[in-house]
This record gives sequence, structure tokens and C-alpha cells, in this order.
Amino acid sequence: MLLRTETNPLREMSKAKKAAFFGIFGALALVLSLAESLILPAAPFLPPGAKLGLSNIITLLCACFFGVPGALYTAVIKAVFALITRGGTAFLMSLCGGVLSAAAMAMMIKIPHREPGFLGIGVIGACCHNVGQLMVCLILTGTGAMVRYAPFLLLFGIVTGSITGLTVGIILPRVINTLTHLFIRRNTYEKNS
Amino acid sequence: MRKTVGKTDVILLIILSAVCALLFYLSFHSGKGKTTAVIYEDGKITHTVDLKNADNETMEINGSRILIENGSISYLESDCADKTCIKFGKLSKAGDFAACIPNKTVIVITGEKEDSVDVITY
Repeated sequence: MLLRTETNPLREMSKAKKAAFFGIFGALALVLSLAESLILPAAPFLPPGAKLGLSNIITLLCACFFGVPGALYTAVIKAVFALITRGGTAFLMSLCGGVLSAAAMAMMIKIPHREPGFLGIGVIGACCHNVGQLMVCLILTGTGAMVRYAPFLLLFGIVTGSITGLTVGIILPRVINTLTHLFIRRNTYEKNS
Repeated sequence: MRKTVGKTDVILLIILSAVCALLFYLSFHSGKGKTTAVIYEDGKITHTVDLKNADNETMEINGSRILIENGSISYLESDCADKTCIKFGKLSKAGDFAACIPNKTVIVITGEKEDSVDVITY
């Protein structure tokens, strides 16, 4: 586990600071999911519906700092955004995949082992996301035919999960640094006014 | 602090890649002989089209127009919001499939050879 609950300074932030934190990270998640759709419009060789899943980076970070509730918050924010911008079907898919993936990643983070590393957690998160979406598709279409998509989903889960997992592993020390400076270091301005 | 990449991750990747390769091998094979397109609307089979012997035509299903041409079938137009169905392109080989989730339609190509992973119905 990254920051043990007893010593995780972020958990002792005031409510205002927590609100700021979640506001920033929620916005980051939305921006990432928007940006990736601009960078990578459905290219002909990609199966339709395949996305880079960069916003899972944010989900994983929130899971590291605030555990299961933090990760679920990110998933819900993304789903509501999908509801507003892309409609009800996208909302259901994002919600089911997102909640399943957020829960899986957060629970794995809680286990206080050094392994599996962030790469594995990212892959499992991405694959869970795909499984959740596939289940929604099966229920909505009422037929088992969508299972044919499973090989593509697994492949893309592995690839995109590796990208997000590796990214989190690489940037996490820097993120902790930045957050500590932003939220926890005593604000020297207070004394001047 | 948790590692970024460790032994467990590598093992996990290897296992998942193997499963993925296996699934690909099982699902897709070239359609020797008869290929049949099965169209589901709202969970029920509404049309079956013998692609090898079909005339070129367009047909309407729930919310979308389907093009059947030269042994392939594809979504031509659709009234759904995301048009993902059209991006599936032309389906011609056994195992190919396309779907329009908002309209609850699915098209699957079944072939002559017996699939070990076949359509699962509930």
C-alpha cells in the first residue's frame, strides 16, 4: 500500500482542502478522457469503442490517496460526464466498467504488499473495466453474441492497462511531492496579512 | 512503497496474453463454404442471411440500415448517438460481428465449421 492510513497526511486535510483536491482530480479525469478522444479518434484498425483509458490514471491515484471511496468518486464523475455529453448508453457503460475497475484497483492497492506493481494493477483495472462494459452490452442487447468481442477487449485491456499502470508508477513520487507542497505545507502567506 | 513492475506483473501479463491469444484463435477462422449472418434485435433473432448466395440489397432493422453486398454485411446508417456500429465495417468471415447497443441490435457471422466458442444464449 502506498500511504498507510495512519500516516497518510492527505486524509487529515480539512474538508475545504479535500473538496479542492477532489475538484482538481475530478477535472483532471474529465480532461484526460476528453483529450484522449481527440488524440485518438477511432482509427480504422482499432476495434470500435476502444479507448486509451488515460483517466484511469486519476482513478488509480485517488485510490492510492483515499482508498475505495476516492476511486469510486472518480468513476462516478466520469460516468455522469458521459451521461451529459454522450447519452444514457455511454453512462451505463462508463458506470459499470468504471465502478468495477475502480473497486478492483482500490482493493488491490489496500493490500500492503509491494507486488503486484502498478503495471499489474493498471492491467487488472483496465480488464475489469472492459468486463463491466461487456456485461452491460450483454444485458442491453439481450444476446450472448457480444462475447465475440472478448478477445479484442482483453488485448486492449492489457495494452491500455499497462500504459496507465506504468504511468502511475512513474509519476507517483512526483504527485506526492506536489500534493504535499500544495495542500500540506504551511501557507507562509497567512502571517503577512 | 509499491513497485512499478515486479515479477507478479510479468507473470500476470504472460498469462493474460496467452489467454488472449487462445481466445483469438478459437473465435476467428476463415469462412470456408457457407457464411451466415444472424441479426439480433432486442435479443431475438430476426433475420438470417446466407451471405454467399445473397443478392446485393439494403434492409432496415431497428434504427439502422444494413447493406448486404458481395458476401459481406455492414451497418450503413444508424440513428444512434455514437455511430459505433458503422465503424465495425464490413463483416464477411465467420466470427466477425457488429453491434448497435443503443438500438439493441447485433449482427454475427456464423460459419460452417463448428465453433468451440459459440453463441451463448440465456
